[in-house]
Formats: sequence, structure tokens, C-alpha cells
Amino acid sequence: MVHFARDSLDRTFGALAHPIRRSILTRLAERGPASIGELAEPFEVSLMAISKHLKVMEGAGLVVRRKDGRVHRMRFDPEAMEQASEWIERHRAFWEQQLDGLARYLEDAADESQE
Amino acid sequence: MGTQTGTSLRVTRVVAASPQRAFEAWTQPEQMRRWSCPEDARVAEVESDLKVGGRFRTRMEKPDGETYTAYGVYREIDPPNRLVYTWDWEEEAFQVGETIVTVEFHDLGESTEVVVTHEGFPAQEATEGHLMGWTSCLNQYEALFV
Repeated sequence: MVHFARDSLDRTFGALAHPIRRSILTRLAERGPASIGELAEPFEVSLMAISKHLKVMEGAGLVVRRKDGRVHRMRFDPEAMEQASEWIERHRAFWEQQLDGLARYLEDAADESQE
Repeated sequence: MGTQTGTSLRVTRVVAASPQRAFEAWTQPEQMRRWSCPEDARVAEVESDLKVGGRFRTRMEKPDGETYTAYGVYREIDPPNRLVYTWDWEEEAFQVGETIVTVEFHDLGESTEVVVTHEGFPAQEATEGHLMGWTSCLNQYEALFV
């Protein structure tokens, strides 16, 4: 099994646990880098609130900030997302294996009881 | 962490047994030992105190000595229909905090559908498909920003 950094996964999942953050991430992923103002535009919350969300996402390594004079441009960094989705994939594989084992075990037991 | 929102991983299988047999196989240590292991490993230890608040622990060991130890506490026990327990790994490398596993056994007459739902990854509505979608979509963007 690959070793996952617990804190890093924690921060990733935490960062994803808000619809505004997920929306911002999707926008950055699909449309490329954007300024904070551009990112705030679709929402009815304050710029300050958006800024806080971005800080959470930066803390998780999901977005990277570039200062262009007074304009801060944010871009998406996929590495943390890949970690999180890989973690889920590995658990899916684990449960698939578990159920394979159960199915085989119960089938063998059923066969035995018919002999 | 440890919320029940969000990403729900669901895996199902139809097994050739009654819900009672399947439920027992899932919860009795001597039976668990015989099936609950990935192919390249063996179950080194199994404990299961089947009562609400009771603990379970299962340690799997690969030939190279690497271990995977899952543990948790039973929250709901409704034989033979449903089981709910917490789930985490003892090995720090695999931990992500407490998650919730629900196992349901649906009677199909001559067989049983076993449904495992693993949830508690706190990304609400961020389905696995969504995450995977992001991953592939993003690889293209990553190339632009190197």
C-alpha cells in the first residue's frame, strides 16, 4: 500500500467539505487560473469570505497563489486531489477483495454441505 | 473528522448463502479469519466483540511482514440485516481518521446481496466519480502550469 500522509489527506478532505470551495476548485480546474475577484463573482458572500476559503485550500495544497502586483491569481494544483482520490480507490479495491473472499468462502461452504 | 457527510464508497456482491449465513460469516472471528483477507496476505489476528460498543480488530499480514490492522467499534447490530461500525487503520501510514462502514444483507431468496457502504470522508457530495473526473481533467491543466 502506498503511504498516505494523514495530515495532508485530512486537510484535503476538509478543504473539499464545502460547496463554495468545491465550486471554486472546479472552476479553476476547468477554466484555468483566476484572480480572487473573478473567483468571488458567482457567489453572494463577501470577498473576505472567499479569501478565507482560498486560504483553506492553499493550506491543503489544492491551490497555489501567484502575486501579480496587487492582483493575486490562484491556480489549481492537482497533486493533493490525486492523493485523496487514490485513497478512496484503494479502499474500494480493498472492499472488492473482501467481498470476493466472502463470496468464495460461502460458495465453498455451500458446496461442502451438499456432499 | 468522523462526520457522516459525503463521499460514500459503495461496493456490492451477491453471495450464495442466506442473509443469516452471510451475517455470521461477516461477524464470527473464526469465519472472518477464513475469508477476510486480500489474496496475497493472511489474517494474523481477529477479534470481534459483537455488541453495540464492542470492538473489532483484524490484522492482516503480507509475506514480506507488512501489516494492515483495521479496527473499530460496533454502532448498530441488526442481524441478519445490517451492521454499522467505525473503521480506521492502526498503521499511521494508512490512517485518515474515523470513517463509518455499513454492511447490509438483502435477502434475494436463494442468495443474498451484500452491500458495503464506507463513508465519512468529509467531502460532501464530492463523489468518487467527481474526484476522478477532476483528476483526469486536471492533468491537462497541470501541464500548462509547469
